[in-house]
Amino acid sequence: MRKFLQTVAVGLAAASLLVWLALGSNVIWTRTSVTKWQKDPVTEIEGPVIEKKFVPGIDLLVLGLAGALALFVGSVFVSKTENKSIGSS
Amino acid sequence: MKNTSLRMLILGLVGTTLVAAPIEFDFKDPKGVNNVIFKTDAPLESINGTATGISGKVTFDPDNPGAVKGKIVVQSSSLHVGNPMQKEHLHSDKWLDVAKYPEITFEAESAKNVKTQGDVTTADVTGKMSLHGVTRTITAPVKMTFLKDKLKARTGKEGDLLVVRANFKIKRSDFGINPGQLEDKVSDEIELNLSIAGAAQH
Repeated sequence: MRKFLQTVAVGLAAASLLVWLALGSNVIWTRTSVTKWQKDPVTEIEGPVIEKKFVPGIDLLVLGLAGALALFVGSVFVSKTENKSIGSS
Repeated sequence: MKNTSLRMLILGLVGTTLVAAPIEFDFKDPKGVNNVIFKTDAPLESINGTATGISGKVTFDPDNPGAVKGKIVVQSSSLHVGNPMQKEHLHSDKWLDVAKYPEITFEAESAKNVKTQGDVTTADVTGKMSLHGVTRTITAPVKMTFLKDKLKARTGKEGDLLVVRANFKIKRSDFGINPGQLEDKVSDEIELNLSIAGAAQH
């Protein structure tokens, strides 16, 4: 059980890091939309075009790594409890 | 003969009056290009956003650009930032309170340092800005470009366009938006970049 949880923790940390790196390694907050600019040929005003797009930010990476750390730490306690109950029976 | 001359004179006078008359431009943009960019640059965070819900009317006289008058309205709910939580906070009663104050307005009253070169006029425009229920007099450097007969190229209708650009800063504390609070995340000074075009049909 300890090994399983630790594997999940490492997997979660790696997945968080990979997703964050693959989607731009943005050091901003997570966004659910991006603004693209389109120039009007007559007025030459650049107008915003808002598109729905998920852009993971540093907050999501931190959340993923914190979750992995919590799992890793938690795994130690879960294993100990299991060992005790096995020993007493 | 006398009557014809008189008619010609009257028509000429009316024509001159019509040409010299100020033109009213409508800034409700069917193409949705008109926008305001707002930027806050605080030590911990830098936030950029846009607003597109723009309307209003401006009276502009190409022969007397300094007499520009009018009102521009921005729908508070159109303020947008990419992070949904930040947007929710921005619209909430803790910040802009868009439910209570649905409009941000600027009413131009006078212009100084008016300089015109060709179709482009620059001026320091003074007017009343209303935001978050507070109205203050501010002066902003404004660039106005009069595009005669250019509406057709944009919408297919005969008319003129007036492009207005302005870059200026306001203080959120002046408008009662969390004065003195959270300045490490949202700066007191907010930079505004306005780029809008108004149309006047012939």
